[in-house]
Amino acid sequence: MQRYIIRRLAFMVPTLLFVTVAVFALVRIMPGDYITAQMAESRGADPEFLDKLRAELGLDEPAPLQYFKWMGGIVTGDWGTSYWQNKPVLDVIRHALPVSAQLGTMAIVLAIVVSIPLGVVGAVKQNSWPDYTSRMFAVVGISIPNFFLATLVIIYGAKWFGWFPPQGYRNPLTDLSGNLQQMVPAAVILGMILMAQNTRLLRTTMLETLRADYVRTARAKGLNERTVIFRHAFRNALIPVVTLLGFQIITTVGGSVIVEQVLGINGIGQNFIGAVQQRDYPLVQGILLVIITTTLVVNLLVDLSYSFLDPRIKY
Amino acid sequence: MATQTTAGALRRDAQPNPFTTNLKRIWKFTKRNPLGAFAGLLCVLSVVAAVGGWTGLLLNHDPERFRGADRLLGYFAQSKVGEGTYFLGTDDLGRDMWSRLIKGAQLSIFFGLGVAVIAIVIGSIIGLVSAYFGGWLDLIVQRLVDLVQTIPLLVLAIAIVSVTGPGIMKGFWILAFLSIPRPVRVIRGSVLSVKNETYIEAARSLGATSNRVMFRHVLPNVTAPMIVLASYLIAVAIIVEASLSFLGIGAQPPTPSWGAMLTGSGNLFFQTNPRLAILPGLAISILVFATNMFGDAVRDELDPRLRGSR
Repeated sequence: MQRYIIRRLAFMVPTLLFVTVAVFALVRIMPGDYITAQMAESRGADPEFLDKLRAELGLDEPAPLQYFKWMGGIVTGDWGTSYWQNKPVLDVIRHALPVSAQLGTMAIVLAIVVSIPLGVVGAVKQNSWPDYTSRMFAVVGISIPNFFLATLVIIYGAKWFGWFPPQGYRNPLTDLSGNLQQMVPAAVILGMILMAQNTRLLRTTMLETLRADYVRTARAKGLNERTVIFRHAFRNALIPVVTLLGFQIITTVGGSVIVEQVLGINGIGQNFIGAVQQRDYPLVQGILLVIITTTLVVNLLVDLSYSFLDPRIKY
Repeated sequence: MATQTTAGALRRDAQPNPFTTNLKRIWKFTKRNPLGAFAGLLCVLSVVAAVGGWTGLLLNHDPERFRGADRLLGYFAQSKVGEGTYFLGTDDLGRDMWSRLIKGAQLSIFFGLGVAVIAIVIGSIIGLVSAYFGGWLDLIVQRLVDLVQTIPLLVLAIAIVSVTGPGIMKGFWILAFLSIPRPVRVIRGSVLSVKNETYIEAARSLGATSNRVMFRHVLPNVTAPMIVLASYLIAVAIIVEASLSFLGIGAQPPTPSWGAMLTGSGNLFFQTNPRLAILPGLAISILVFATNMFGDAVRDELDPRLRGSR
């Protein structure tokens, strides 16, 4: 087990290195740079002046040199300065990351809390009204794209409840109700598709495990139905769900880009779109690096959780 | 030889008309899985809408033409400049919503099917070759696939589209490229499990070449997971196209795209005319619903283990 973890962690280093090169190259291929994006309004600006500005930002140096400078900075904790926000990249990320982390965590927790009872009940009481309800919910949930759901929430939130998405981030420590007013609708929008997917998958795998031989054995031993369902069937049905959960955390990062943009939440997603539009190289690179590291760690955790859920799996 | 002909003739006698046989098969499927059949019907209707938009047969107005006098009309409104009836009203520029939605179907269907076909064809070839030959080739392919999959599809699509500049065809090729890893994974997994079956060994010992074994013996046995994968890829491609257009970096105005309709006039007039946002949103949802449900139904049909357990 320990050796497996060490090997996996060691493998993350070359992957991350490759990813940084890819990210760096991708950002450099963008036609135009920060200077042209800024000067788009004022045509015919003195080219010499533009070159001077580029030199100040270090954009005139050859790309490989820029890359090594950037990598050196990553290691020493200096991720560069965002051109667009004129703040250190690490500061921007430090402010944006907790916002997105809160949103993502709430969405995923919500998805788990809702989908486990729905999926289990759907399977245990197959072809009954609760089952149809949970299936209908799941089918509708996976079909509505999050931006449409967000638009609906904005339209009918304003119409029926007089609710408008609050602008700017509310810190939960100082303004809890303001924070929740902002985050709960966002988490529901983001979590809807996750709930639906989880419910469907859990229902299907529960149906399969409930027919498995070991469940029949457990029943034959005279265990009560509760123990059979939760200790024997449910635990085994969780394995594919955990795999899905790993995928979902990655999807949630993508989804939060849209939800944050629509509801005006100043997290990683909104910063990413802004940074891409402004050609803010250091910020784009920094955010992509954070996102990719997160997904790598999540994938590792998912793989490790298998052996906890299924004692037959050993690393 | 003679026995074969007799068997063939017998089979033809048992099934006199392929048309009625297919109808019967569809009817059986409908009875077994009404929701799946309904979803299949919706899929067919969407394709009809797309073809109708492409040929112009289902458009009763020019979807891109502005009419100042006909702005923001309601359902079944009559045009004030003698252009007939607008079934679903008009948007803030006086453009016919019905025609725009149909034209949008054309874009979404083209995106979904095109991306899925390209990704599956290229992904299958890569996955097949990689799994069949194994070794360092397989290792490199798998690491590349892992790498692309570590980044959320939408984030990567946004980043690359910003690099190349907005545009619907750029978005299409980028999405097709980014969709390749998944078919590679699925095909590779299936091939690995099929590879050591006896019939493959038999084919090889008869002297079949690698190409022949791969395409005649391995590939037909991994088509079932491919069909399921196709419905997934189509749904994802439709949603990503709509998302990119929603963010303003996909289809550019005046091209009608459902995602762009939602964010453009839909967002501006959501309080007075929620119809402008809800109609395209519903259209996306229905198409994604139909694709998902139909894919599930087909999987259930193809996988005998799932029959009867529902």
